[in-house]
Amino acid sequence: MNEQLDRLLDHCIKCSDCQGVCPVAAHNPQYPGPKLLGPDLARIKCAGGAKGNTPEAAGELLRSLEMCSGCQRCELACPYGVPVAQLIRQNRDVLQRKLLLRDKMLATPQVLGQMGTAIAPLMNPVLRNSLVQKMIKGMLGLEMEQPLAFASRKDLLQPTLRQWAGAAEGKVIYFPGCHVNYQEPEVGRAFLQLLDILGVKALVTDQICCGMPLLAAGNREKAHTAFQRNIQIFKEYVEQGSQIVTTCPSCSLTLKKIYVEELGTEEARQLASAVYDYSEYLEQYSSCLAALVHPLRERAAYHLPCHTQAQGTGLAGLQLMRLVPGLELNVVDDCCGQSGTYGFKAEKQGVSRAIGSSLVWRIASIEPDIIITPCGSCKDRLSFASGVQTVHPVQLLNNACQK
Amino acid sequence: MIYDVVIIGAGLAGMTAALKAIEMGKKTIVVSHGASTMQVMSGCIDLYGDDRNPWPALEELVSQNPAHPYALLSQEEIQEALSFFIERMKESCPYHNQEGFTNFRIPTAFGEERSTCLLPEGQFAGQSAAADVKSRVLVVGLKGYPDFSAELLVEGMHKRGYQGWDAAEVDLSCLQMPGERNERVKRAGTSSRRHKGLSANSVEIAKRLEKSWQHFAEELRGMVQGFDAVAFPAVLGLDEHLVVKRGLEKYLGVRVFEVPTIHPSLPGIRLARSLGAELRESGCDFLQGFPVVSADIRERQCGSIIASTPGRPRCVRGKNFILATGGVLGGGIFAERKGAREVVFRLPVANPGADAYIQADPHSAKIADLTAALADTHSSRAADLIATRVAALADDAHKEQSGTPGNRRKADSPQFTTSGLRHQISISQAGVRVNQQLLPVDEDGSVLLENVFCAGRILAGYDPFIEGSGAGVAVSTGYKAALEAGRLGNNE
Repeated sequence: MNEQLDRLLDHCIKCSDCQGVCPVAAHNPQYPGPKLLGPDLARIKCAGGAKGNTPEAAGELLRSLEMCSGCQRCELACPYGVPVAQLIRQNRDVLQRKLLLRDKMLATPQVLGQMGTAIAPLMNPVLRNSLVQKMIKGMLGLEMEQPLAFASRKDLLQPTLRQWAGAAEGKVIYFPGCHVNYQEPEVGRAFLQLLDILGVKALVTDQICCGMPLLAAGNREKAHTAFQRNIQIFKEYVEQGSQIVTTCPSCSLTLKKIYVEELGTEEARQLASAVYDYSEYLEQYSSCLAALVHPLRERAAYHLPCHTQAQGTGLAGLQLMRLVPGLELNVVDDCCGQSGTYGFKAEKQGVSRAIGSSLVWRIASIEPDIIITPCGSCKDRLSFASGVQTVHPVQLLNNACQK
Repeated sequence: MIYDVVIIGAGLAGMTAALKAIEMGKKTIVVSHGASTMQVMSGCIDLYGDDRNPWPALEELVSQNPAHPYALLSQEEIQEALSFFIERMKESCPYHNQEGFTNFRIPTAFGEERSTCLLPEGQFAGQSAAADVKSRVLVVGLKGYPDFSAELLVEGMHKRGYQGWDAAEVDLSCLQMPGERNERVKRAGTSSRRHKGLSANSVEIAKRLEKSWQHFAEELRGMVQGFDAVAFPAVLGLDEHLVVKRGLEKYLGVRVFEVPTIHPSLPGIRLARSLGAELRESGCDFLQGFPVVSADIRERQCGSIIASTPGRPRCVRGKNFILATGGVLGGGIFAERKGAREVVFRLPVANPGADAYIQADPHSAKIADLTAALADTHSSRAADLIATRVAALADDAHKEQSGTPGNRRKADSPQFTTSGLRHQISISQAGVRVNQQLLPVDEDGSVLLENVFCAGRILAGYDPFIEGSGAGVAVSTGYKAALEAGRLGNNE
């Protein structure tokens, strides 16, 4: 554990604010909560000395480390600036568990995606079959009730970054992330169209993963390799002042915050300062967009995903939506419980559903025509659980501009 | 986008200010570092002191201490703020008050008595139970929740002559968690960590009660016969606390009330959540989780504040700002041995009666030595060294206490009387000095920032812990700050 983290650890005064906002702790009686798994366990680790010996007392806590969904709400709630989520992540090191096949699959969405998209027309109906779902659950421990739907290969976004021979200077690079790459290329296309309308020609990266799923699966070593690889890919562009824009809040959070926390290198910091959430990037075009959008008469539930809140860009996204006249926005900001790969793990399904159900109730009470959320995995969960059409903000903006 | 009112801090003062600003039709945003310190709050709005009627005492206080935050408002303005607060909280977190905003008397978790001005519905029946010495009240403790002792409360009440109070205990295993199946609960939840003698957090219990208060009521039904009221630790539900409390009352046929416990304190969390929800519904924006690290100030006007977010800082622009970041506990003031500073605008921090705090501590040199020794833990002699030092320190402390003249003034080592304690922790009076418009001023009284209004715990010159005035100052100065900010906005 590094020195800076040690210092921040001392800021925890055990006020339990993090316990109060943790969605997992609120729905799982076995879960000790972020205070115990973060700062408390980190203290025990410190007491164990440099060798990382963990006293027996921590044994019970350790088994709960994997139940953290990584939503980062504890960190946002902390009044004293303790990086609770980071501490929990780092504490996972003491957990020496062999990864299951399922964990490995979820950790590498590119592999899964490439396979899935190759046989999408065949695969998608099969995955919708309840018998198949049960088999997968029994064999792999994968919860498939909310089916994965892959895009077919012909619909995928075309990477253009590698082919680009011109100057890197000042280019806008779009980082679609795995969800857009393999499941919803239409979101990426909508974003590119929108940029096109605004006169911005963006380059699209190859199908690379930000590395967050590896970290979530507990494979820190490989995650760091992926981080380093991505930093090298973008190094040249970052140095020449390019901007890297994503439409996925988890990807941008990882690139902006997790890389820096995990690696702590200057290169990571440089990359972080060049990464933009779509909303941050589009902010500069607000007046332009305001002139372009047509009114939409719709009652919408606008969901703020955890990872959008964790980077403080929720406001920017909301203000973009407010540009659309006639769009009635009702903001909801609870966790949907899916948390990327979390909701796919059978043992976490109960708590994941329980977290999501209160949000779905709130959305239902709004009676929306449409749900808007920038996060792919939230989007899948919400449309599955509520049955309401769910779109990404850039899709909505693009539609409003096209009409 | 430029907001009409930017509020820094999401505590009671900040959110009351936001409610008022929204009501005045201002585009408002609340920017906060984390959740507020309302999780340590009892949920009651204490106005001032222990008298039945606090207003004469308040008048005296203000005349004696013109720098007190209450001196910035007339009594009518304070009552207006309280009425506004009650009105806006009516639906989600209802409050009761007495005619003329006099004090209620309610029992504490120790069975003692305390005064407060506004009572949340959950604690309301407590005042009528405590009003009659002959009342029969059952205090229910929860097995597996060690932060509250029914026996302790009942013992305290007995000492004060309330002989009709009894203690009882209910096992938490009757509560069902969302996601848990019925059968598992009926089998006494053997798989649950919580039932192996480990304790549960108040927030967790509250969440459970929301889902299965009926099981809980079933368990209680036989016990409450012959009692006028039933008291619980304040864990009866979080977001749906009204459903739980009213449901229990209906089911059991007796009045139900809660007694606030240590943090995390549900009544405070509920109030914070209700205020947040009310604001969200009224169209207030939020930016939560990031410290405001600096501000853009030109010619004593603040144009924007800058929050530290991942990747790059986020700038929030506004016409008027309300500084409600709290005191030392809330993080608005950073205190260290050398002194204290205000964290956002770097405003000067005044500390009336700071002598004890600011003076160099004769112990500090010894403590520095000790720290050096501790750092050198590899040394084989370190343990011996530390032991000697600790013994020497203890010896010094003992000499001082027994009256041996040291280099400390005698006034600094008093017996632990209330006045002595007040002197010892005079840092709680530290804060920003303001003028009648709540604008920050320097020592000479000249205005430092013309569009930044200060509210709540950041204000200098009062001690909420001794006075019992924390929430009252927060609500009234928050309300006033919004009025002032709104007025300034209208003049432009």
